[in-house]
Amino acid sequence: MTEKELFRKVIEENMINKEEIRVRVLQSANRADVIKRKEYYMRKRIIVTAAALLVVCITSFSAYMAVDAYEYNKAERFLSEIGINAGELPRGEAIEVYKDIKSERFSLPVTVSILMEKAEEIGIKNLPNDGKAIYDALLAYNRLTYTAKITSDQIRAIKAGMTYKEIIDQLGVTKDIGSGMHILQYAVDGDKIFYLSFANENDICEKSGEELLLTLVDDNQDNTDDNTFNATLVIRHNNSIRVSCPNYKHFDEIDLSITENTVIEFADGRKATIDDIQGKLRITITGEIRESYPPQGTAAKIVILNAD
Amino acid sequence: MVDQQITTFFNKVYDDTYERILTYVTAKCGNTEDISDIMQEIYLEVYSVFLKKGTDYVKNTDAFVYSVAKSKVYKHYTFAERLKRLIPMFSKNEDDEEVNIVDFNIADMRLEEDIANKWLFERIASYIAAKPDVVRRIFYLFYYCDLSIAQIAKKLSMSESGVKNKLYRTVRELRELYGKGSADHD
Repeated sequence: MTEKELFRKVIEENMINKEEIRVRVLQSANRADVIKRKEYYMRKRIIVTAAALLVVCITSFSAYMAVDAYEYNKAERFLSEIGINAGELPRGEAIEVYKDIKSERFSLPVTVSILMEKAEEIGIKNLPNDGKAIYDALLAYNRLTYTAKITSDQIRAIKAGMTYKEIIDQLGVTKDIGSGMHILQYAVDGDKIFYLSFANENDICEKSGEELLLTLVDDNQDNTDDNTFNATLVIRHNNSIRVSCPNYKHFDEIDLSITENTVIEFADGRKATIDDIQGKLRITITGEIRESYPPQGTAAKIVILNAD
Repeated sequence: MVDQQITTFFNKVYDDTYERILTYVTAKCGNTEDISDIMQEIYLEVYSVFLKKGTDYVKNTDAFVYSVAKSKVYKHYTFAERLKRLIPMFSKNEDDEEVNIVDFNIADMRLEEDIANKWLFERIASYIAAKPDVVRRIFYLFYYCDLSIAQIAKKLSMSESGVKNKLYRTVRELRELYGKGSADHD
């Protein structure tokens, strides 16, 4: 017996039996039986069709849910760029408002109402009842004050040859800390900072996402105490400093008063003075924060981490 | 009672066309588990036409059976075909493995020993039944319908290497299943 004969025999006996099919057909010897069998197959087809319809319905519903989730995620990100938390709005309303703003129609009363509420919350006053004007004001305010939180995967997805405008569309609006040229600041994965520098939004970025990832700056936070955070010195005055801390959960920048009670020391424990403060710092604040932008507080302890 | 002449005529048509129709159905069906059902539907239709209209009604029996087969497969799979577009059934990537599907003798096995081999036959059948549909289809067309690799590739719109690889893997696994190992045998 050959292998081919074996397999043929297996198929013939267990799967497609020619003689069995013939017998079944011949057993339908009278027309009534033929009709009955036709009805049986018709019923079977109906069941199969119904099952297929069900699958199509489930597939369509799943597709709808996926589209809805996709749109909501886009809405959430878009609204966060102007400081609006989509989670505080009904899901459908968040998507509608996002679409209304994105299309620049500003035709829904709820859109203007939400924008107006946000503007009043952060102290922007004397705005016209014009959705576009309020949106532009919120966007400008956020570009000064809001550090977007992104992931390294978002940076990895950047392709060499994209314009900076396309990159910003992909990563979202964030704080511009540049002067003269743009330096956009993004908090990445909660422990790194990404600075995107360019002169004009329409310029081409020659670097790929992988290359840009190599430029990330370490900004690991100390989470042992809610009032303690790592920061970088921005500017030092006689008895105050401004520091930047994009990955700290409560704010991304703060003005700190230094009093006679403030402890200033180097990482090895040696005493230091306000003039020694530079670079990377570990700061503990007293806890009281005055609302403004940047917020204001008082330093309880400053540790200079990378002194020369 | 059914006219004996019609039954004899039907049996002849059945024997003459069975292989070709089976090949067609195997290549075109959406699921190989439906082959028996579809074959039965086709020949039921053919038989009922003979019963209603007589044997002289059909001038070209080959063409007639073939047209019934086309219609039955189409009706059976109208929906399935649509779903196939949503759910890809075949992987496009095929490994380039060395292929050997040369037939060989199984010296210690005889067709007459049906009872002794029944257990093995069932094991092989269940194994094939558990394979993906495309593999079953290739297996049937090669071993049951006697088609060449090139013919199967054409019928299933696949590459020849894709057909060979799927067949080879299955045969290699089956050889291990019935104790012949994966080595080639003559």
